[in-house]
Amino acid sequence: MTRTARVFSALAAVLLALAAAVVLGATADAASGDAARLVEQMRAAAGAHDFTATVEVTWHNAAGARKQATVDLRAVNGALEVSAGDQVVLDQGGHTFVKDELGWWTPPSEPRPSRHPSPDARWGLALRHGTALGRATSTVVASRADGSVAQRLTIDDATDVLVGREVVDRDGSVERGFRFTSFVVTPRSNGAASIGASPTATAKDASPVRAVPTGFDAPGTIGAGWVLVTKSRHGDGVQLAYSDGLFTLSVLEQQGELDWNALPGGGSGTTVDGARARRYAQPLGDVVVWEQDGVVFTCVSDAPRDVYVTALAGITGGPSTVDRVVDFVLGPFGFD
Amino acid sequence: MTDMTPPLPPAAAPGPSDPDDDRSLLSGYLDGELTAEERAIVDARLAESPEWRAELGEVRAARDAVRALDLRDAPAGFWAGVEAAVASTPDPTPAATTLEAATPGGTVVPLDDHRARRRSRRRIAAWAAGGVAAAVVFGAMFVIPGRHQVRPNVAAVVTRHGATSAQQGDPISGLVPLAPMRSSR
Repeated sequence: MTRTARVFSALAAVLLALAAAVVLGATADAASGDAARLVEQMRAAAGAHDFTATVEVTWHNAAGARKQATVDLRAVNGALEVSAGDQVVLDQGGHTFVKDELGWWTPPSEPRPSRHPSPDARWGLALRHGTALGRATSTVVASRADGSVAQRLTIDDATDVLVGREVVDRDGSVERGFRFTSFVVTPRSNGAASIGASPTATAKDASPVRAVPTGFDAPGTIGAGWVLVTKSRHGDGVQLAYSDGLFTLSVLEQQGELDWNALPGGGSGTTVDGARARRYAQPLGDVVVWEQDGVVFTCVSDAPRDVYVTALAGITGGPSTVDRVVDFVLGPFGFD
Repeated sequence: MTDMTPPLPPAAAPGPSDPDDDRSLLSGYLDGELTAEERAIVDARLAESPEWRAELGEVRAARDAVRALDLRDAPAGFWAGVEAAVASTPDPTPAATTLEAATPGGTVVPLDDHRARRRSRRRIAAWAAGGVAAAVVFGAMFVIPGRHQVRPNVAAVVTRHGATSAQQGDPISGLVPLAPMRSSR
């Protein structure tokens, strides 16, 4: 082969590799887009179908011991009821009601967010197809930048209802999750049927705020891709909700000195940005409580531990430039 | 839970000195501040007494109402007013006076009258000082968001997070884990 032929061969190989990379990238983007759309459809599906299910919930407590519980799930005409023994959680008409040993009560409903990150804004998503409970399913796999799996969402193909979820730590172990062990879809009753539970608590809405009072922090973004979606007043503090498109993170800020003795038992010691903190592992997610600069932070997140811990320090890092401007303009007028 | 429940004393003989009938425990019960033994006592009382359950509902409603109050900064001029009140308050321990100093003209007054006036001035000073102290305490308690003890209700924060996730994202992921959390408390 002549020298000219070798050069042309090398150029052709490079061009072929580039073309392959472009095609593969486009395919990956398309797959990620398809997965993101499926996640959005899944979020609306629970209210669009009537069904009953038995769900196995698993998590690890702060000591690392594996815990498990079984709950019953029922969806009727857009209302969703979860029951475990005498405990009932009911989602109805945009409000959540809880029945425990003290009776019915309801947490204030947060305002609807004006912006929400796309599920694939931060996460690389891929789709896998399989079966669960004898039904065809698709699994949305979210991966970290290093390729390790962070979450698997198993979605029923026929209804788009989420039938399984695994939150995975960096080592590949499942931190928490749930899976349907039975799933019966019933024809929609067109308003003829309703959830059996009748909450006696009065639904209430949280009061949104545009600027938080002096002394509180509400950064517009924290960590790698967490976006502040809502903020509201909460009695003696402020409540912030963050999203990264797949996971959620809530922060309650209260001014004062943390009474460590009043915290629930259990949990484990940790630190946040050098400050002493306490962590609790719950079926829903981790809770971290700490105090910094006269403000007590109670943070809850359903993300894997390595994902949310990087965001915690950012909460106390002061407001973003945009928030500073908003605070400057709106601060004199108080909350609203 | 039942293994933690101590034997119940007779319910028909409650009294203020009976720790098992101390309904002030209800507030601590709602805030998760009781010891396991105290919580077991309250659980047992709630199970057997409709009155306790009703009172618990009232305590919860009152607590929620108080917690729903807004934070407010001190009104403009509040602290200036407090400082002015302090500055204008007479010294409650006046310097030693003599009969001559109290009567510059050298007029002699009855000693009993002088003592009565001095006691009166001291009472006024004491009332003024008390008023200022009350104003400061009032401000600290109700007006100034000061550095008080914070006791986060972790279970309530988690529940609110689940509800928010359900409303803003996926309802199944937000709600399903709440039921076992509350039943395992």
